[in-house]
Amino acid sequence: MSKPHDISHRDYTGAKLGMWLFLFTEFFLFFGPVLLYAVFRFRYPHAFIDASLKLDAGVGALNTVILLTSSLCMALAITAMQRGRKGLTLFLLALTVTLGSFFLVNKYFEWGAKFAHGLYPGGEALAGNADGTAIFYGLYFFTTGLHGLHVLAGMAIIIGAALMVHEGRINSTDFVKLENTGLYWHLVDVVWIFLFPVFYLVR
Amino acid sequence: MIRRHLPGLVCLFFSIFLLAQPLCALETAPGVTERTGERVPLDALFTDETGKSVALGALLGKPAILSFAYFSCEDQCNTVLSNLASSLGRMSSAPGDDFLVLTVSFDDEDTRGEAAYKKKNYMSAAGRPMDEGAWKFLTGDKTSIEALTGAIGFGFRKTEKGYDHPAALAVLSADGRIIRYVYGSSYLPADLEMALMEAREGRITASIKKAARFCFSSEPGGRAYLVSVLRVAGLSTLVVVAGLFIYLKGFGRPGKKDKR
Amino acid sequence: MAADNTRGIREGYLASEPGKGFIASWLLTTDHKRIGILYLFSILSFFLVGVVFGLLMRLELISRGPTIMEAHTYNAFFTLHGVIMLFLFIIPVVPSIFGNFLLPIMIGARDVAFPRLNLLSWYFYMAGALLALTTLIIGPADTGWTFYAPYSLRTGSSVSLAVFSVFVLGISSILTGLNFVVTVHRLRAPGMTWFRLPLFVWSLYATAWIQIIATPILGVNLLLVMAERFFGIGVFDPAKGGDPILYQHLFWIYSHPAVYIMVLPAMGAVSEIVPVFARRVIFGYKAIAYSSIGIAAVGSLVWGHHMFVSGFSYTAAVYFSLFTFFVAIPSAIKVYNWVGTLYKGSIVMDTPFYFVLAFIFLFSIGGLSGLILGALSVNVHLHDTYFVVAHFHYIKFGGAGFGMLAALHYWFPKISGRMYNKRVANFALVFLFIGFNTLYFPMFILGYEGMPRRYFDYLPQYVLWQHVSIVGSWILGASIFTMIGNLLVAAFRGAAAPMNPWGARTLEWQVSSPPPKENFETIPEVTRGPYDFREGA
Repeated sequence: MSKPHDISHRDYTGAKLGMWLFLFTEFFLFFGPVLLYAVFRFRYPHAFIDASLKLDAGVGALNTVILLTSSLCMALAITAMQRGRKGLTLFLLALTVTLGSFFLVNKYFEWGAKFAHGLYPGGEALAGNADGTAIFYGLYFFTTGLHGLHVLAGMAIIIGAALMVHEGRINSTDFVKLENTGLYWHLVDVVWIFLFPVFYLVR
Repeated sequence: MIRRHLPGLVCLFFSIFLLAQPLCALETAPGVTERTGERVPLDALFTDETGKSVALGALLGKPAILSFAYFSCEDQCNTVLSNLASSLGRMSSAPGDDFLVLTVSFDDEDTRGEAAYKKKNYMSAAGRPMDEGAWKFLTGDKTSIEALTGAIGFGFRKTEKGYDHPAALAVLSADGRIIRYVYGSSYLPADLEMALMEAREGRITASIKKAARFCFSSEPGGRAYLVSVLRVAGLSTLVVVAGLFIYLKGFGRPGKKDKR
Repeated sequence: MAADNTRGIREGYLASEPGKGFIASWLLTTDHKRIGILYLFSILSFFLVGVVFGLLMRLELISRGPTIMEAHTYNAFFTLHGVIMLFLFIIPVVPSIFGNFLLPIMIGARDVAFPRLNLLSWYFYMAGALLALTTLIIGPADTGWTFYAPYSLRTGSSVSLAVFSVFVLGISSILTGLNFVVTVHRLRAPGMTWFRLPLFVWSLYATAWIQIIATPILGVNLLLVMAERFFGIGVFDPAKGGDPILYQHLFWIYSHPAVYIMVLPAMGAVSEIVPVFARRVIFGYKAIAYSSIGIAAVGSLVWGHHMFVSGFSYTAAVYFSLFTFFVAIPSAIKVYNWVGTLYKGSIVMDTPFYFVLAFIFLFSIGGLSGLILGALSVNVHLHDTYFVVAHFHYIKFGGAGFGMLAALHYWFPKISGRMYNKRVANFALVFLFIGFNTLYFPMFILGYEGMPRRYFDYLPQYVLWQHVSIVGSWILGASIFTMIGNLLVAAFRGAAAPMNPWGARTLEWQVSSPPPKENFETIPEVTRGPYDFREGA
């Protein structure tokens, strides 16, 4: 007779199902602001387009590429683990985290530029503005900020997973934790792929 | 290391919430900034519907229900006024004898003619006989309007199509102090009675905060599009969930194919 | 097994764990039963706090004008009463206590799918609960439990903290829901098909889905309120072109389904008790199972009816009104099925069954008054009066609360391994029932006469019914404390309970009381439905 949690640890399908449900709730978390975006876009179409034009689509595209590449690294890391190549796995995980931090650095400079122009909630360029521009930036900062927090959390989780790979607690026969880490990182990626056109491209 | 500092970090994190006060100042925005206990400007001059110029202080002398409107409003002001009229009709204390009703236009371009017209309509909508002096419809110039709305904390904003403004009443004591606010665009007679009772006793109390209902003049179509956006969102959620459920049922059979 | 069961004291999962201190064996446990007990004690404590707030609010109304508290205090009290009763008591009570304890046993599993996540969600619950109580000390929120914008954006009181506490509670709720869904999908015993699941499991399963779907929306809405307060992002702020109505929409996308999160599990518990005391297979098993799912689905679409008077178009209002009536259908199906089960059953009258009868009666009154409120024109008149207060207390307390008490008295012998004093329990129930109706029924009358809710004072014409209601609150308070006292005494001094005191057929009654550590010696093979009372079945 085995301990109860041993059962669940070996139930890969159950663990993955749980992760999928969790990702589902994360989607809903981002669904709220996007819904608000849709509503306000109906109300202030011109202001939203003007504000959207002021965002740097180049930086956004660069960030999309960075995240996509990091997602690829993550997927490769899982494959490497399945084949039992521990060193390669660790290298790929490190690469993923590095790319994640590139994303954040990029985001930092992008936000910094907006702050320099006073384009932030409570900033001088938006003070007393009620034509929808303030709302656009409010939602932009909220949503990308929330996403940024998820990137940070994802990086922390990957580092944790890397430590477990290092200790051998994740290995070529028991790697569902790495797979779930990967799923989370892909979620972060997918959310960004959704947010990028919404804020930068749709005009 | 981290574990040792954990309690401190947790305290620090939560102290952010304790210190946090709203950063946004909303003084001039459409909305009500409560100034309970303060006095309205008794010397502010307004014109009543007969064309007579009166100071606010001269009108008072009894507890009063103060409402704001602008007379070219097509939407919420009418709702507010007709609901107020119907509540007045159902109250047990008598408007005019026990208290006054003042409706002040915050649009300085409104005229006493419009005021008289509104008065006639809403007095009859109340469905009970009232003195001419029971419900005053006042117009005024920019200075007096700003003095009064400022004192009440009633924020409004002009837009292309009219005004954005909140829906709320203020109840004043006989000497012109603000007793409390009654929010919303429909009013329970008992709610008004109680506010007036407090006004009579000069007892200042907390207003019952509830969802403020705003009038947005900039939206002629109401929020129909909003409902449809939400409806689509709700339905698509359901479809996704139903799909997921069917998919998951495939996961369901325990003890089959998957390795334990 | 039955032999050592008759003594059954400090056995089973309650036995102390070698090598672990007493506190660690509880606070670090991953056993779903022990976590259920953790929830039991914490939730009931918060419930009693909420009851005390409620009693004090009633007491304030004993005479007109400020009696024992000022208006501000009263506002703070009803906010806290609401937050505690809804978020700390009714939403988690049945799933977290009874779901945790019983769901794995009922489906023939050793534990939930993610035992450590389960413990984590208790810690989230406690963190959220303590944060909510902290707001009491540092200056309570006075916005009401809905935190409606724009007041929640401006008021200087500790709204941020209160909102954050609800957010944390939401995380706990999501994790519990997620755990249950995976458990039901993955850990059913061999032969436990979907239609052999006890109805309680069905209702927990439907509830878990609502928790997973609706709670994140509430979460992000609360995050938006906090972002609004800290940074002023403007979406709910009319000064920046935002719209506070959107807060209400997002809020009710969660909170309407949340109403069903509150009643569904209690209904499930009742569906479990009724066939046992009727000694008869439940009437319309599939109808009840599907109506749980139906309630979950329809409940997700009816949020709009809370905003009849806040500027909806007429068509939308009618549409929502219609949906409100639709919700009544699955609820009514359940009531008919319970009554149908009792009809021609060989009814055994016993304590849990009396609770169920009280539940059916009170919940029906609540439901019917809900139909009155759902009808468009009446709603406008009764909106924001005591009628609404009475209605939701009949639904939430009379429904969910009594359902929970029924469940508590039904499963108590299984959970503790001891039997309570049935006579005291019956007396307490009778007085609870009388007190409940004396407390809340006058509120229908007061509401009809126009008494506004959330008010610390009233007009002379309402004195009589207010006083009747206050007397009711005392009867109710006394009987609640008696009832819980009775159970506490039984938990420590009660006679040992047999394995299956009610003669039920579901799996949890086929193990000893209290259940052994990992529930089953060997995972059972299920060959029949949960309510098969035929001899030898």
